[in-house]
Amino acid sequence: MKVLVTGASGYLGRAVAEHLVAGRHQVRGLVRTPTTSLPPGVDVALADLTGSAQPIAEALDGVEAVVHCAAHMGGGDREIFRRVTVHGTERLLRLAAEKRVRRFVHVSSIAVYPWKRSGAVAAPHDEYDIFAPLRDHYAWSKIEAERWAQLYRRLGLLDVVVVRPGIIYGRGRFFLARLAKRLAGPVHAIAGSAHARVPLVHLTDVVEAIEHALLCPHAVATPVNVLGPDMPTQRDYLEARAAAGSQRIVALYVPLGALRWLARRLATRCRFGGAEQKSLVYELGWLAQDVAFDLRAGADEIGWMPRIAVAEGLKA
Amino acid sequence: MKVALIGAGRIGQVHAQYIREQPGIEQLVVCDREAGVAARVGARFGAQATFDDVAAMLEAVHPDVVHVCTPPALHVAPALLALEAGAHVLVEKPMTLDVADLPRLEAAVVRRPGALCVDHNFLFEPEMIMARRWLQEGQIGAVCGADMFYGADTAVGIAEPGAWSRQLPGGRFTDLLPHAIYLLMHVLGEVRGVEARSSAAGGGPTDAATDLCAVLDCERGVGSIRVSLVAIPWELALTIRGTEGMIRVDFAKQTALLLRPRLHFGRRLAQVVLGLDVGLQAIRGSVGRFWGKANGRLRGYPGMRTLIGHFYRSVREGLAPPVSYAEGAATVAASQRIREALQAARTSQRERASGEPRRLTA
Repeated sequence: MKVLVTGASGYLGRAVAEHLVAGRHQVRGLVRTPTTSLPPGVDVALADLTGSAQPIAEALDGVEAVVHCAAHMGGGDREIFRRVTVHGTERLLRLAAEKRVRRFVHVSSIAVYPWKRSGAVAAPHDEYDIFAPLRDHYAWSKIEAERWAQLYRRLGLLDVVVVRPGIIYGRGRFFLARLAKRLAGPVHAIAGSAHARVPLVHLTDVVEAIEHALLCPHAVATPVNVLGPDMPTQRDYLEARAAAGSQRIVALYVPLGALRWLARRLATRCRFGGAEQKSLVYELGWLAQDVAFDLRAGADEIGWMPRIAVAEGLKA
Repeated sequence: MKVALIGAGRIGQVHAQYIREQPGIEQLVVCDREAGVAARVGARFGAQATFDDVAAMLEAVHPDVVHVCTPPALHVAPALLALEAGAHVLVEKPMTLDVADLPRLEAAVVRRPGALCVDHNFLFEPEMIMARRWLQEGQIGAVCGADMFYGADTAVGIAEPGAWSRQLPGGRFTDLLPHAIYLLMHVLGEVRGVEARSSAAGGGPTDAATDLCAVLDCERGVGSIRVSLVAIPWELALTIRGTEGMIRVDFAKQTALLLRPRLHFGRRLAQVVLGLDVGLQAIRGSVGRFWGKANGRLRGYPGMRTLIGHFYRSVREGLAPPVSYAEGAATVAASQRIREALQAARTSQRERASGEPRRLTA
């Protein structure tokens, strides 16, 4: 299969391209600037999703499938996230539909889920966070980009499969906490409860899920949550990390229960349609949540199951 | 941004009011086939020009946004013209009357997927936003069913229908059903199967039905819709049932209640706590409604105001529309399936009646 991977010089895109080349697929990597960091065997296509349509259309020539990993990950204001992640995705969807690409794997995120009460389950058919404008720029842009992808799917313009990875770790990227601040030496302030579950997934699991989504013979309407086989609590994760040889962390947990309450009050006020700006309170309330994720769509829809437990993934 | 309003009837004027609240509106024009109505409404809302012909208006103005507020049978033609003229279109519900009209509209939407939005305004009523927030938080666990009641009490003059609504195929039900359908589909997913029955108050002929009941087999559960043209008191309510609780949204009273028994207190105490909780919510809801009416936030059509705000933001910022063509089309299809199920039920009822032996009376 001839596959275009966007964001191919990034952490996830590079791993996807490498995996697909190993699987004897013809891979074209879409990158903004000439780079030497692409894996061997990957053709380079230079194009900017925010620039001219012509190079993107040329990159799509002869392509059977797209894996869309590109998104703005750095800092900046909402405008840059809108331009790169939201408009870039819509432009790629439009051009891929025009080129009659057979399968479009849209790499979204579990950030599209709304805040949930402790112990609730985030299921694929849950609505997007209806207070998306209150969220941080990244979460907002992933929600808006996925809404475009779903619109193209529902209109029958593209066979879109949406995958929603959790927090990806492995191969040189090690996660500490959703929100942490080093105070002194090994002492870190960590936002939220020690018992809050951390939605981690190893890079290898994500890459395999994307491959399954790419090759799945039937249309997949349900978004697929991509998380590891276990969801450790924040405390268990830090212990597993120390056991795997990383620096021992002394954690001071800062409970955010009051912020959760404030976040809910804020959302209540926004029910009249006033949510325009991101809100730190709402975002912290979201970060402090402790939810489980429904992983059934992985097995039922694309025939994928996560393999790498955290203890194993940290050693790899 | 140049905006055109097509159809200056009652709901068109509500749109005009909320268009005026949007930032960046440079020009508003009003188009109605009755030039006098267009001129009167245009003057009321400060329109720069008025027209009685859609094509002439599109040619002269080249609007960025067009609101289609004509009667349902007249939605498709102006929406198509506006889409072809490059405008973003907000069309009133029901998007079309018949699934046979969908392919033409879809062909235009496919060329510009984000250009059409449908006015499913009840999804954005403040009480429904509260319910959506509770749903997204997982407050009632997994949703297992939902029931919608839609009363249209003409006797007390509420929701007085336009003259056109009686002429629709399926009568006034066709105008009222879309609200119930899209709300139910929002909670339970796409409709897979439909059963429906109708009756007339007091046992009158079913051809003059005043009540309708439909059971919708949806992706995530079974839902029911009951519409009455005569039931009193007037009510408009959605009940969502989950594995851990229930949400009741009362659109008529503009309140939402979350009924979630705290079973860890023990069954008896949980009932007491639930009763207190519901009482407190009802008081809070009444006070909030009074305050909302006083400060204007709950006056008129607050859901439509919010939806129009989201729609304009989507146009300004290049986002997907708040309610897409796909949702409008699914609602039209479900509405037609209900009409067909009703027709089939009536036919079967007539056949049964004609096959029954006549009773002899003394």
